[in-house]
Amino acid sequence: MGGTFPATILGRIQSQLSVQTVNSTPGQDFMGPIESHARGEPSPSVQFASLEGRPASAWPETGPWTRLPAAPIERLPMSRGLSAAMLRGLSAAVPFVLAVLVCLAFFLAGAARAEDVGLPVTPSQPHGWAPYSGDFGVDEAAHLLRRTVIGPRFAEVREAESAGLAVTIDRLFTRHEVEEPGDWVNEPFPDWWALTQAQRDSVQRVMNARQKVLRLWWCENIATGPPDLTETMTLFWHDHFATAMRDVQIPQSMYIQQALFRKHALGNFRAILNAIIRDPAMLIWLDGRWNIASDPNENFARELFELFTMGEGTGYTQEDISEAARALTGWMTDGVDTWFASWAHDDGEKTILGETGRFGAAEVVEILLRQPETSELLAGKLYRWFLSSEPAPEDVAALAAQLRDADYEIAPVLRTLLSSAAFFDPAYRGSLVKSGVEIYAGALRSFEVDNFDPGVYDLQARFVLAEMTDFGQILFDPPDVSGWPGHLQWLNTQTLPKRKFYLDALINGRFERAPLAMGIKVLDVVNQFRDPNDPEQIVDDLALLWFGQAPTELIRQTMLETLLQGAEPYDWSIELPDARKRLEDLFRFVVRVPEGQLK
Amino acid sequence: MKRRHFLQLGGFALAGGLVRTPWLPTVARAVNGESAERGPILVVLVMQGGNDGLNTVVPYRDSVYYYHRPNLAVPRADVLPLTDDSGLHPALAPLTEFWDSGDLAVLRGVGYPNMNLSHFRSTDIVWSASGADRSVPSGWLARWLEGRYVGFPETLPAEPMALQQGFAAALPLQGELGVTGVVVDNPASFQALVGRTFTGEFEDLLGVDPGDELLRRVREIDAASFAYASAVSSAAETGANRVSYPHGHIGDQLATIARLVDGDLGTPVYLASLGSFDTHAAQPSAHRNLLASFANAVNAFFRDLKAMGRADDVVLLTVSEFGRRVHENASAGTDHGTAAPWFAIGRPVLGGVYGSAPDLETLDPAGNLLVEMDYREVYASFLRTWFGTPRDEVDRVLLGDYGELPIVTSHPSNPSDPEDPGDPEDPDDPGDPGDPEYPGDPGGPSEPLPPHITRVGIQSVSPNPGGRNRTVVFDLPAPAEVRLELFDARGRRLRTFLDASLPAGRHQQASDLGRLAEGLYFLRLVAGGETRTKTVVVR
Repeated sequence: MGGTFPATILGRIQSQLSVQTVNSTPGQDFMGPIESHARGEPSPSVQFASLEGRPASAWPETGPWTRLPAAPIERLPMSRGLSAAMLRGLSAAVPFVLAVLVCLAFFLAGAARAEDVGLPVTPSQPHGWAPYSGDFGVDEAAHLLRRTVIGPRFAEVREAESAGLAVTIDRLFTRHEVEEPGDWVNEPFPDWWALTQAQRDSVQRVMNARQKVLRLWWCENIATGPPDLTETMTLFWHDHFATAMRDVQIPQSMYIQQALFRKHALGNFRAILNAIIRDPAMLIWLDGRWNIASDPNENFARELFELFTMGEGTGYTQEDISEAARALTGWMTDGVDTWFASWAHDDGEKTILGETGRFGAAEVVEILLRQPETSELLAGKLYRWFLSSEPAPEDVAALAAQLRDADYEIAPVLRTLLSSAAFFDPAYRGSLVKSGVEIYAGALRSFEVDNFDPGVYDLQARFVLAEMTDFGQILFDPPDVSGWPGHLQWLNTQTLPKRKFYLDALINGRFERAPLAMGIKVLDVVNQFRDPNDPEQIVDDLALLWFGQAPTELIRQTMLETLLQGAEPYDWSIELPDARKRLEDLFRFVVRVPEGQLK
Repeated sequence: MKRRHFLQLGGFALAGGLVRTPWLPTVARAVNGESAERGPILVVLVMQGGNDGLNTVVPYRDSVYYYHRPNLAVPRADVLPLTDDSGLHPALAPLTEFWDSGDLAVLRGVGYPNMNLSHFRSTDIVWSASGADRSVPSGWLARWLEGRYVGFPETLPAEPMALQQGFAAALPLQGELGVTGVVVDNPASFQALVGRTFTGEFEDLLGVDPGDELLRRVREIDAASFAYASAVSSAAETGANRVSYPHGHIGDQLATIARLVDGDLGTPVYLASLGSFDTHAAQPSAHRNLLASFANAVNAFFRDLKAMGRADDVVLLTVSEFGRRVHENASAGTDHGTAAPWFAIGRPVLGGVYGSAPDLETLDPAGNLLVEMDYREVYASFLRTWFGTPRDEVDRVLLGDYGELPIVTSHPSNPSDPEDPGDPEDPDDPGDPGDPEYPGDPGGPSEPLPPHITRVGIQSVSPNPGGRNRTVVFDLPAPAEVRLELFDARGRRLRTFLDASLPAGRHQQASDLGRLAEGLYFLRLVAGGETRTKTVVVR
């Protein structure tokens, strides 16, 4: 195909690339969120700017984690627990909460979920869950890591290939620990009513700064962590029990929830549910703390049924919701600790899904776990997350049955899925859309971006936080309680060019015309390839790493021509003086190709 | 599904990504002749999370409301009265000028049968124009746009068919054949962004198609951003806001839309959103602030359009997935409910309150309001009248036959309705009145100019309701060319009572409506560039 390719067209593609290269250099227009503040108003797409009520171009220094102001809080009077009225007062007293409420509309997509919109829904034929017995070559290793690790490196793909499927799966199921973002995560939340206005302002400033720290801390963990399922499954639970910091506000609460997801990342769904019904962030987010016997608040009960366990339209009634809300009454939180207040609990008899008793929260969890719909919802979600957006109902049912048999242990079910013949069916290569995190944090990891230290480099912090916003995936801030819609909804005419723009900036190592102090290390990436001195091998391995499958012949030829720039293949060497520049041109082209959006 | 062929757009796709082609939309527009005429525009503003209808349009004379809302009720003294039984939340004060000028329609009790109380499901239903019992994977506006642009998706119109601001939900613009619009946050820089990152049409150059549906869709999005970038950005550069907007997300969105309208982007549908209406707790301050943001932004938007001279081309409709429970909860909030009022705003809107007041004593078993008006009737009214869409096409788009409400007039650019032969039983109804009559005496100033006349207005129509003979009293603050016309519910002009130059003052006009079927009609006064509308009920 390459021989028949019209030279003129290739030449034009090349010239376009070089034009774009020039455009990408400093001094050219930056069309990102910062420019949109030319009018002095915050961009709707920059949530953090709105959080603070000022333009993003005037962001405060984030500073390293360790230098965060913590002192004012420690000297403040503490309260063991805030009453409901106090916490209500908190929301009313902090004006910026309202600004946040208004500004988050952008993220409250709220409408359709991936399974409702997008491609015509044609569930694939049932394939069963027979284990994979074919070759575990570099293609299979790449597929497995691209679906389980956010941003796998090519060296890791080669290690997986040589270790074999069974060992690689075992490694993936090893959970890694991370350091806390700071001692403040255990700090009690102050008694708001005992504070002066100046103290409240100070607490608010500290909270704002710590919220950013938390988002970047997770991003850094993803970008630098070992290649296992910990970060992916933590994100899975964050998406499933979607809780937004813009409402919860208290960064300690969000960290406590995150720690819960990390601890149970590959654990038991029953344990996660029992923890989530007394999770401070969740009790704040879904108003569980307002849910008292004399006047129940249904919000938590409804989402518990609709989104966390059974799923919408699976036969429960409004009456079931109201009764479950009564059973869930009495759990109180101060944002850090949770306690059960018997005075607020409705101890009477309730009837939920046909069962009657003087139920509390734990019994509600057991009743929900007994419903087959709960296992099917979870199995279906794992299927869509790891394998395909169009599962066959029979396959989900079989996975759900295994989940019930395993008493809701996640790891055995996930192991079945990831080592199945179906998972390695070539038809599933490139059948999912990469999430926002897989672009912004995944590229940092895949492409050997070192020196990512947003605690030290303010520009890096602003850059990554801005792109989280632009891609529609701000960590700790899902659009609503149903999580991120996902799949094709990651992409639209706005987010797709923004993704390419981000990757372009990483290749150039510049953002807002200023050096980022980090960038894609093309030589380090290519030196992991099977033969960095063979242009064809570079092209194929880069395609495998970023596209996950062989590109069309046209794209492959363009990649090759971009790398060689008129020279013969045998003239290429990774030691050439301009090798890095040529490789950067190659990467610049590759990250613009639509194939790179899929995994 | 058929594939798009960008090559059909004058071969630009071949050059796509190779050279920038800012000329293309202009050329395409000139060919289509679209630049000559400005069509009707609909802005749909979604209040996400379920807006509390009872605290938006307040039944301030209903003691049952105050019984159910001991902590949340809007005090009677604070309500801005519209009618004897309903008034606006005080934070909506910036909307009262639209009410006074007859440009605000309050649609009460909007919903659908067996309303679903899940945000997500109910939002899907409202965007897809389906019912509680049916899941439809495409949006109603997208289905309508697909029908309007013959050739889609093989060829794309020169300008985006719809433009979504401020939220990323895919369903609203998801058609049966493809995605019918674009999501653009910053139109002014959109072209620069796309120009820097678009690489080319790799499948079409050599006809390589891997047969991968998902990849094809990603390429479509890629190509659409390129295809529309120049049109969107040049409209943003050409257009300019004439007023300043309130600080905030919704103000930014409406400012952007107005700027694109001013830049003559030929896009008929814009989507905007305001979130956080899910007020389960601490509702009073949160809801007040949301309503104030909304009302201030909308006020600025229409002042801007007026200053641009485009106020006759744009109407705004608010939607929300459901209202909220009648009885407040213990957390000073409200749980998910059912029917709620929607607003239609704009000069072409026929102001008034539609639908009956909420019946707070007849609730469903969960304590929710009964639905008064199917939301698809609201959609049908805009498609049928405002956009002049044929009835069978409206039925196709809305997946059924829904009646219309007389809430908006027809846009002047719409072709006269070929389906309307006039009322065969009414000799006075000639159908589309090509040659209007000028009955009656234009009259003169019947009283000296009272000092309080500062604005154009219809003071009264009497009797109303009534029969064929009415007396219309209207005010002119300055001498003006005046037209006084009668429209039917579909926005067709039936009579012209007056077309003359009149001095300032209070005027009285005897008007013979002719023999009309019972129902709602609209009297429109156009004077000195201002338009006022009054509802006329014929019994």
